[in-house]
Amino acid sequence: MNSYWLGVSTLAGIYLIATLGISILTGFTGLFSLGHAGFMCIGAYASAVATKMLGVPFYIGLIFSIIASVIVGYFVGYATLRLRGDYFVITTFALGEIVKLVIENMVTITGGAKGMPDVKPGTTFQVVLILDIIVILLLVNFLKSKYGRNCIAIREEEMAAKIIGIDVMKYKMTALLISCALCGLAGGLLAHYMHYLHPNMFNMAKSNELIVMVILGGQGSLTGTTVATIALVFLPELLRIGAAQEWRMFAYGVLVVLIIVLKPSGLFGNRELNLKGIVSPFKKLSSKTQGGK
Amino acid sequence: MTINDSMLSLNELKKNFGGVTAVNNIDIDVKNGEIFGIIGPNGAGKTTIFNLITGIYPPSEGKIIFSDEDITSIPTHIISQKGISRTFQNIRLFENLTVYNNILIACHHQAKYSILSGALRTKSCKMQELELAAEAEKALRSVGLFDKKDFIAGKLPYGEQRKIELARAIATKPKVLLLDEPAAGMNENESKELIELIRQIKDEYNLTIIIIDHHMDVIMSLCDKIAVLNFGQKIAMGTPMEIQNNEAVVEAYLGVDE
Repeated sequence: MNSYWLGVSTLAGIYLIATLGISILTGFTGLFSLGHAGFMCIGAYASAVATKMLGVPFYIGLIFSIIASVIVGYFVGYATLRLRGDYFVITTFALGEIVKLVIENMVTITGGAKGMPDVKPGTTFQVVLILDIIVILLLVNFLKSKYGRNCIAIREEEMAAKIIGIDVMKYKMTALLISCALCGLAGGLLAHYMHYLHPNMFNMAKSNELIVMVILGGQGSLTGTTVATIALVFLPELLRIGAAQEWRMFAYGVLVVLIIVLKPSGLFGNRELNLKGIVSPFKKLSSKTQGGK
Repeated sequence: MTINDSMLSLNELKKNFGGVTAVNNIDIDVKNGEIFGIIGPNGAGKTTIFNLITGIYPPSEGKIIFSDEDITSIPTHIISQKGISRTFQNIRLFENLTVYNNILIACHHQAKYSILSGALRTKSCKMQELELAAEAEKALRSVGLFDKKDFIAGKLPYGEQRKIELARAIATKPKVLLLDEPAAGMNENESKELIELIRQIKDEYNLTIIIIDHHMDVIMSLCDKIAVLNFGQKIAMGTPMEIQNNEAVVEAYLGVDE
């Protein structure tokens, strides 16, 4: 693999950590957010500032990313999770913009609109790959536990969830903090991969891109989120080749619209890819052929 | 607790929605082990009473006492944890989940493992998950839905969806079960089956039941005591026999002969 595609793969892996977090919030708990690039932004600057000013190593910086993002997420959640549906979406949208503006105006620490150069390197493809695997394993277990199932119950029918004794606020907060932690981590990784930060890297378009990845993959499917994220990071790069260059963002848009029209529940719906799913069609096939004898 | 102890009592309960008084000064006392019926024409305030008991909205005035404890205006999930469960008039299932998962989620209150233990899938988490599975199976067998456990709940026929809701309600291990029109849309045979099922789970789980329904055969054969509501007021209360001979009740349902 040449360094260009290795770079694209690393980016895909970084975004995957963020979208897996948003998948828990949106796909499994049913809360939409249009501002999660804001949490990536917090994570990115937290780690960049910590490594630069305090001189801590890169992996400690990532812990700063997670903690900073979770703290902000907690206050945002405390103030907004009682809001219903659309209102929550609007406040997350506002949050994304607020974070960007605050960082733009903290010129002495963040460099403001000029950006922040010379961020410590550290993020490699290997690091991202290992973190991706750990995150996926933890989230799969989480979803198999009562905590994950309670989140799904809230997505399905909030009133019924309350009636069987689920503290809806607590689980919405749990899902929000998981998404904040993972977006923060992704932001930190991005900072140490790009070596340069600018508030506009985390604008609303970025938030939209993240949520599109989750919705395209299918709400309630980690497999879907994973496939959609990798596909949507690679797609614009693949479309760069040859004459497609000028039309690539157009083609990207058309493909997204096509999937939404043809498969409204997302690529994977709420199904997961597992070994059973791969093996069982073959078993059926072999039992059929044996039956034929 | 003996048979004659009060399990759930509503004291001068009142609920206003703007200028409309949906429930007006209702006094009801349900004894331990009783099946208590609430009937009345549409819009009489029956479901509102269930919504007040389960904390979906707070009452404007009055108190709700559940086995000697004041539970007025506390959050719904805590009322559920204390031991009051219900079904809904318009079925509210976790539609895209399997029947089994619908019930399993209702058993969750028994599992005490931490979120970290869940994410790492520790031994204690696995053990408790096995116990939950056993509980869920038991509830499914009680309503006779065990062989349907892997079906998607929202795709089953109406009658079976009602049973899933019932199983989910009893899986929370309640002391009091509120049934909101469980026989709605059922024919005579189905409601007979339902009567048997309610009796059976009442004995099996040691329940006190409050039931709202328009099917008089269901109400009259199940209930020890019945309250009749009209326009938010309690107009009569008594045994099924007393209610059937009560003039005010006949008037509310059939109108006055002029």
